[in-house]
Amino acid sequence: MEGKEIYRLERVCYNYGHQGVLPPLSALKDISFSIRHGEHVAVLGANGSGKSTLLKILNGLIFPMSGIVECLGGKVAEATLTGAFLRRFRERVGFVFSEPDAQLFCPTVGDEVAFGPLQLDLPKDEAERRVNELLNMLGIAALRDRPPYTLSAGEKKKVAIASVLAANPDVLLLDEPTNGLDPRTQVWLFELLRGLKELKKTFIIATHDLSLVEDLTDRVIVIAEGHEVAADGPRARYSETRTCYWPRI
Amino acid sequence: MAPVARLPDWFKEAKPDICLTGGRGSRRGFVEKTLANLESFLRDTLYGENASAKQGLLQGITPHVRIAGIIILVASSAMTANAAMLGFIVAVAAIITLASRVSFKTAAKRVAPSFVFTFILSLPVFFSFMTPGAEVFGAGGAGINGLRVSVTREGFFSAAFFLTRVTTAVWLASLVVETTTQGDFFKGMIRLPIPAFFVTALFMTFRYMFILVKIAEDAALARKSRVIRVAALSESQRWFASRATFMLKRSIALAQEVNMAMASRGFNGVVKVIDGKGMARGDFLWLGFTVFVVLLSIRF
Amino acid sequence: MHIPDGYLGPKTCIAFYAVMAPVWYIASSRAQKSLKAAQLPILALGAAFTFVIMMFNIPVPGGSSGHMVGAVVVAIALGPWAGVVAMTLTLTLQAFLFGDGGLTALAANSFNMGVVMSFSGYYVYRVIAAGPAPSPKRRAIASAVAAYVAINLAAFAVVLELGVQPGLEAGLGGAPLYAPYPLSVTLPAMMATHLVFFGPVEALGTALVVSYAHKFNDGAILEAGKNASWKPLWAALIALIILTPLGLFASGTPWGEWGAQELGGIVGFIPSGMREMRGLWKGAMPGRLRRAGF
Repeated sequence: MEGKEIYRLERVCYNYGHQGVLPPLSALKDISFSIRHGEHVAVLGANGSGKSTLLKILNGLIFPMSGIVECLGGKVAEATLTGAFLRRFRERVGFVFSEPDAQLFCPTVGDEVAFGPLQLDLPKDEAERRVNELLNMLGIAALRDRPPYTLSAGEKKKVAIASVLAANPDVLLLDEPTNGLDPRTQVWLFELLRGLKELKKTFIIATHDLSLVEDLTDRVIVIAEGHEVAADGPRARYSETRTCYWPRI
Repeated sequence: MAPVARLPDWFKEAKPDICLTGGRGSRRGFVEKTLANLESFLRDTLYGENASAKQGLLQGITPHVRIAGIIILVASSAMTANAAMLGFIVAVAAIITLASRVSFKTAAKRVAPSFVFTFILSLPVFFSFMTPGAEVFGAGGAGINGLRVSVTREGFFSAAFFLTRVTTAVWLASLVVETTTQGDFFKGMIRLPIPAFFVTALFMTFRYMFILVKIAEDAALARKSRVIRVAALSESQRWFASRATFMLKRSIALAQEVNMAMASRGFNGVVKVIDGKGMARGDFLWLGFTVFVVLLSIRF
Repeated sequence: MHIPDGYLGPKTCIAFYAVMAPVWYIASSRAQKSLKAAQLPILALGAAFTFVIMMFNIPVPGGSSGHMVGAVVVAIALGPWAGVVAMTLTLTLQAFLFGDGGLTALAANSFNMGVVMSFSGYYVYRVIAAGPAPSPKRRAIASAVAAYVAINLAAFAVVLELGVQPGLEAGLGGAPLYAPYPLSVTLPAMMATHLVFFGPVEALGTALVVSYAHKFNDGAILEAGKNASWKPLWAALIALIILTPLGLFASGTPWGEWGAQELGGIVGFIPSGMREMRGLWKGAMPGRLRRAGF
């Protein structure tokens, strides 16, 4: 399993507004890289450089105008992402959105966490068990019957993460995970990610948070303002030449 | 019992009343006023003096059975043609209110607008020109345009019956919100024979409602902080339209994000939920009772 | 416009539930089909939009104000079927959570504000703003006319529904059991206020929102329902003719009591309070009464 290729992207391009009257707005240009099982990748880039777009493409939520995305040995495209492959893909790849308000859409925290497992047709008692265990593990069992939008930002983030972990994905995509969190919740998040790292989960984090990069990732992909990959390499090398990359972020 | 859902603190802050501070140009603050009112209205309606955390008759009944029973009772209040039967339903409503520890003051607050509206609407029915019959009050020469204005027995009963019917229906319906948390309400709805698609959309509508009000309120406050002079009517109208459009666009973006979040976790158009516990004896009793009432009201 | 519980008799309520059940079914499957990209959240959003829009009071010349329903905006933006679903969602929430519109009258209300408003508004707009690239002015006029026609048709549906109650459901000695006024009273009362007052408010509000939406985006967001075929128009028209409350008379129920007609002159203006009072509650004095829970 270790070292097996999970993602392969080849010359991926994405534009916004391609159907509208306005000229298309480039969001990603010529992105190529591959990611292996057990890698912990940070995607760095300025606001608007296309990090979130990239993660959405990796999660099969939007599809590139051109180029190839492969995941778990299958092609991720609108036509191929159906049936058994779609299910397998949704089971294996989890996405934590940067905006928890968008991610939390169920009436209660308990329903929220159960949503993924139920959609993936897990037996109801198994879903129930996962909900209980996750809420206890994350220390939010008391919030179970609360509507998610009445929670604090930190609590929302915990619920959002719990709702993604409930499907037990192998690959975690995290979009700006530390955004809007207080230091205590940030520490909690670091510890959680460290735990997941020990479980050999793969994760890809889009972030500005350099402490997150240094503590938890071992590879850095920098997306420049021109929406193409400006640098891609081990985190150690990135740290040494940080001054070199920094102006480009 | 589950803790009562509470809005975050920012939602509870009262916004200053623009009319009082402005002094002149009452038209200026129509958006701000509306939003401030809307916010307090939503809060009061949904979070004020709610009895859902108390132990009581309705609170002890499984949510979907509770909602179904109330709907059945509302239907019977809308169906009966018999004054004694309507009186019985009023008594039932009163007993449920007491047994569910909902305060009569709250119930009255819920019912008041409908009552006032229907009272004014049905005023003419009291009088002889609308309902001819035995005059019981104001008989004699009094009148407008040569028409005699007097309350008739028939008119009184007709109007009172209509008024009682409308009021009782609102009263009964309000007991759902008063005794049910939001989470339970939507979970209850999903277990009723309503498509899950519709209930999920219903819940999302409910959530967007708050988000839209929040976005609009922020925008209105941002504008308020910049605008000093009294805005012209046309400017007010333009402002209204641009805000409405802004809300539409902001929320479409959010809606697309939510859609992606759902798809990301395996949603493909069919919502699946964990079934709650089965119906207990109390649930059957409640349902049986409400069905009994509705059958009576069909008969009478 | 929202009919409360107790205003419509069981025959009318059941008839409307019978009519709306297939309409709801078709509407939700059609809406799901035409909005496949982001169906559910967009629908819910349209509903929330009308909900909030109903709370806005637009000032009109003369110092008064009124609120719009917003169904035509949603119908133009998302298509008429989505409009029906969105209005039903809004009305359901209003009925359950705010006691605004009745539970037994939910189907009738959904018919008036969902089916009648969405379809009439949508197709009037499409006819007037037909062509590949209508000018902004024509678009504004089209949406204003659409909204004006739509709200008045909806009001007319309410007129019929309320007006037939004294004839349909009478107690001993012909005493009214539900909405007490015959058509001769409901017609002038409702239509006068809507033709003169609420119609222009709806028209103005809809035109402003649609124009602004077009001005500030490339038009791709709005008019998702543009590619809808004309078939549903005919289906809807036929359905309208059959299902309009007029169809209720086919069941052999006698026409309403017209006896009070000679009194219409004096009574006529009083029930106009029906719509006017609602406007007042939502408009001129929202603070106190709204807090009271309306």
